[in-house]
Amino acid sequence: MAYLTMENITRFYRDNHVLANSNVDFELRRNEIHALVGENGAGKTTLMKILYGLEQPDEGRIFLNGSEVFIRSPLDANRYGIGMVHQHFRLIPDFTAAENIIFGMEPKRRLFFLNRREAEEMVRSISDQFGFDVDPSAVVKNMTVGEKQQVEIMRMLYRNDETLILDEPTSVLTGRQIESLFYTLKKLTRAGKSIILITHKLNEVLSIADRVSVMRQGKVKGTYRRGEVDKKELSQLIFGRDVQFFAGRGVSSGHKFAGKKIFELKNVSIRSGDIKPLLDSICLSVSPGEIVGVTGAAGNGLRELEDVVSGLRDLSGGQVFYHGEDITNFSVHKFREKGFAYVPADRMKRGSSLQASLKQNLIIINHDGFSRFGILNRRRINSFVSKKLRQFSIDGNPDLPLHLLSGGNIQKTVLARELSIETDFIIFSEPTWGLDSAAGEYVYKKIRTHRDKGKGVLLFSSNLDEILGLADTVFVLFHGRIAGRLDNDGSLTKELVGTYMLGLEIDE
Amino acid sequence: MNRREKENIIVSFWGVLLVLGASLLFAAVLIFLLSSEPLPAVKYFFTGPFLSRYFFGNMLDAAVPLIFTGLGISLAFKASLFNLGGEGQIYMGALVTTVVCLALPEFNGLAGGLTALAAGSLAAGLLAALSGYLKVKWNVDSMISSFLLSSAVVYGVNFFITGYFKDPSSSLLSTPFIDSRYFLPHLMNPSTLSTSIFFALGGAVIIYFLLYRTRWGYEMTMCGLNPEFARYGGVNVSSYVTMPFFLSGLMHGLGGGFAVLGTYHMSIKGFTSGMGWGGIAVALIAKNNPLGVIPAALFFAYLNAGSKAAMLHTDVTFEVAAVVEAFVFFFITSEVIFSFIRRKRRSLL
Amino acid sequence: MNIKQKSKKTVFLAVLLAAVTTVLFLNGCSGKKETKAADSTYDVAVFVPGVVAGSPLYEQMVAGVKQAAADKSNITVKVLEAGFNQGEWKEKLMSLAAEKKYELIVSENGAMPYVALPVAEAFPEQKFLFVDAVIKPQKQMYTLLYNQVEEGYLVGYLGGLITKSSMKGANTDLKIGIIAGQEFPAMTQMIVPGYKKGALAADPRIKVDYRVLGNWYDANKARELAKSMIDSGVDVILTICGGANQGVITAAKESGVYVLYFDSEQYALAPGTIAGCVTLTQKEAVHKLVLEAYSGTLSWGTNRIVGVKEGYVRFAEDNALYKKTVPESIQSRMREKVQALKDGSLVLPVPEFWKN
Repeated sequence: MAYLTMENITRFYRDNHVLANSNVDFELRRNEIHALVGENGAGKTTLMKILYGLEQPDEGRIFLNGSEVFIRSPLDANRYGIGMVHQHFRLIPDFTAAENIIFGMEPKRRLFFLNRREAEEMVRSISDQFGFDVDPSAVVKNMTVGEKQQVEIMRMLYRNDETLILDEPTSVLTGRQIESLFYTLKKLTRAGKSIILITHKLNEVLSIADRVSVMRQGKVKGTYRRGEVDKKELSQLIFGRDVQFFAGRGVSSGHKFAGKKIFELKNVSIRSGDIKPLLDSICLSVSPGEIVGVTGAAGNGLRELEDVVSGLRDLSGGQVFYHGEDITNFSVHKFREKGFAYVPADRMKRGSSLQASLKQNLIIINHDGFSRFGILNRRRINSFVSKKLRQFSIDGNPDLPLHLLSGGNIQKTVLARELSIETDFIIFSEPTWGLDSAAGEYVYKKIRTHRDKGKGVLLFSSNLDEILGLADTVFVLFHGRIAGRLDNDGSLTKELVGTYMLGLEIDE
Repeated sequence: MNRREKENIIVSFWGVLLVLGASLLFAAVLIFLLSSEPLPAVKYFFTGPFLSRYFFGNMLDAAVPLIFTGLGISLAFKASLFNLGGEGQIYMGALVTTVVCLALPEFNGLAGGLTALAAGSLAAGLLAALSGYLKVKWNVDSMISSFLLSSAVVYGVNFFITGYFKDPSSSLLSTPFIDSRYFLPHLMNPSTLSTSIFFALGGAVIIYFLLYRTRWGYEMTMCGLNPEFARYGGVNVSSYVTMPFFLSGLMHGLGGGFAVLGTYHMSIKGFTSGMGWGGIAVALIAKNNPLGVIPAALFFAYLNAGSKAAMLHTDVTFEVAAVVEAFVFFFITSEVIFSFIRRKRRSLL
Repeated sequence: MNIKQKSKKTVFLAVLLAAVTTVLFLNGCSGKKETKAADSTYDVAVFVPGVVAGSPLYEQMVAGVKQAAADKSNITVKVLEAGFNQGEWKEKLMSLAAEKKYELIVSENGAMPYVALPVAEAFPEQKFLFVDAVIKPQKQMYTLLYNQVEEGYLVGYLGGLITKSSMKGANTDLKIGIIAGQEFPAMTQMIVPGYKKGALAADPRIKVDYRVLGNWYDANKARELAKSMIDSGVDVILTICGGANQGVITAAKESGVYVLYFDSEQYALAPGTIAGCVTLTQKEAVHKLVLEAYSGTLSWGTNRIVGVKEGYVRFAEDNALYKKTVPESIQSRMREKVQALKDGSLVLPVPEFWKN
């Protein structure tokens, strides 16, 4: 019996003439996990924004338990028991977990004053009931991504939401965290909740979803029960064509990278205050033609190391070398002058300026010829920009602000810029976050091309498939230290890397 | 996309026009309520500035300092810096220009005038740069520091005008007149309009070029839009704090300097007051576009000239005129600020 | 934001502006001018350098002109308040003259003739009447200067008499004070010297403490200043600081000493504390001069100085509160002084500075 039905939903974006949803029918049953899959821009997020009241459909109706409802705002959605966890969390960093969870629906004492103890108690009971592992009094800004996500989910549970929408919940999680998330989701459905899972990871869909709806180009292409479709069929439904999956491991398995080093870290440490060091004596080097993969569970120093190698963060100890030159604590400006290319994990805030135009985003790294005597050469800039738009098939007006572009196009803009740098060293961090498989595959190809041209690549990734598929050498971080340096010689398995990630095994 | 973009601009253009129109309408209503001869008062309010060369020239002249301050504010805004110290900076620039002119009476007119302008704008620039420096050095909020510094400087300049440099033979609270060789040629006698307006227009073009056609302006804009991205892209972000403030102060100083050489020929206590705040409103209407600053400044000058004309010809009193001006000012700034906030909020979602 | 679009818009506006400017340039001279044709009205504009409300002297000036208009039905009056930004006065005065509508512009304040000089040059037909002001003779102007040496002398003499008297607020220090809002030529050249001279005439041992507040509104600061003077032994203070006068009065009241008031009769503000007032009969002066200008008997290019003898400077000695506060012995000495000024047996000339 359908519990929630969306009927004939149509949404047209006048702004950019995109028909995001076209006569979409969608149906959610009680106690099910319903996966919504599709490429970037297929209309999944728009459909869910309509359900959550963030956007209004041009046509169509929504029924809850058989009667029509009108959802004009997230407030209405909450009233109907619909909650949503966005891809980018919406928590207040300086509040505790409990404060974030009860925010807006505080238990009151004597009318006005927040009853902190009662709040924490309520949060703790939710936590116990569903097996969450979050300290209600912990401050959000100190939490890992996984913990923040738990807080978001608990927030919905605290509000007694019946329908939970999760937008790409696993994209920021490590394997272990994904497992525990899925365990939680199962438990929630048994407790009577219905869950919509937006994702484009087919493995997840097949392992957890009771049913899956596939969207393509604004339409629902079909809804299937578990077992009705396999991975290959599903991907054909999504992309309308066959997609090559990871074609084997790194090519250079077993190859020894001796001698020349492009980039090297020696005993790099970061301490702040008296707490345990964020990074502790990291030694790592990248040779020509080598992809060095760095992985680790969230909160173990991956982001800090990314900041160090890109020059955004100063060291407390240790040295950084580039072609043998000591460049420790050089400014980013100097790093860029050396020719570093860097695709950051945070592509929305660090990697691009959403209010600036597409053109302005592409020329931030000053190539020769963009300006002479400080005066911009508009002809050269325009030809560079149009060349990049063509080369990376970016769909957007170069003079309009970047935020008007779709997520995928923004990602491509960052790539286009960084890959345009003539360099022998490039840093990729989480290169496929937010990309669909086809775009992801394109990035993988680019990374391999760099390696094959004899350049050095430093790859930060929490996706083990990605690490094993690309890296020649794998470094696993645990508690800010290198727990293991593993050669990806063909025998390396996810399980083995996992044991290092969890600190079950540590090489000295 | 292209059509949408065009629509966007048309909408924002008409939007601004609509607000300006609504604020004028509001002024008319206010005059109707407060004047016993409303019809002529409203008539003079709207047509007064165009009735004679004299009024028209004065209106254009009143726009000159507003163009300079509007440019200064726009420049800082582009770097996401709020320069609230315009009042002090323009006053300082005016005083220093006057004092240098008084100190060099035997100088060549052109060279002396330029020296005085340079000194005045440099002084104002350094005053503003101090706020930028404090921000870089100790992370002092530049909005507050520029405001406080400017407030203190206004008192300092008052002290010099009414004390140390006061013309003892005059009952005005002012310095003596500067030598007439430094006066800028007048254009529409007997109005106060002088060649300073050409400098203002030229200044707008230069600032436009600086912001949109140079590496420097590009990097500054990027620092203003998203400092983390600018830093990531290799821009030396901290250098785009002090410099924009300095240039912003420089423009204010030029505004004060030209007011002395072109219009007042001396420094009078409080004579630049309001020009700094006016610059903020002008920059808001112009959406920080240096070329847009010109019509925006003219609009404000028109408003001011209109209320003066209404005052001159009818029973509209000084207070009524001031209230009308204040309301229109409030109207415009609040609309622009609200739409700015709305845009910000939308982009966050 | 697309730059091209914006600049197109700006260019459009610039062209429009240029067109309007050109039209005005061309039409400005040849266009029809509002000349004083054969209309029979006599139009008077009152230029108020500030605002009328709260200023007794400006109120008197306006009342004087309006009374003239009441006498002669074809006199019209326009009052323009120019506000406190002195920088704008010249432009606003020029605007009035540019109307070419007013036979006479009346104003008050020592700075105004100088502000008016370039205006007079630009509009050689325009006539100006300035009271409480003086300038080297200008053929378009008539100025009336009050002998403020006499004004200062009268209150100085009264202050001297009080401080050496046995009145209950007076002490034995023989010190009197004067607080000015700001310094201006009339203050330093006439009022203060007159005040000192008057005090010394009462007793040569008297010391005068002269202070400048720095503005015309800060009553708190004025109170502090007055307090410190009182603490140093001053028992009579002449206050000339506009809105800040109230601070001086409060301080004097608290300490039981005396205040002298300038330019208007204000005993009622603080009975028992305000011991004396000198006033100007500006309303009468303006009334008479406007009528003279109207009838064509005013001789332009004249600087006239008037004082007690002419009846334009008065000591307010008939007020009941004055008679109650000050003993009869002092009252009679004051009467003698006023009489001496009236009959010319005491002459207090205005300094050379004013006669340029």
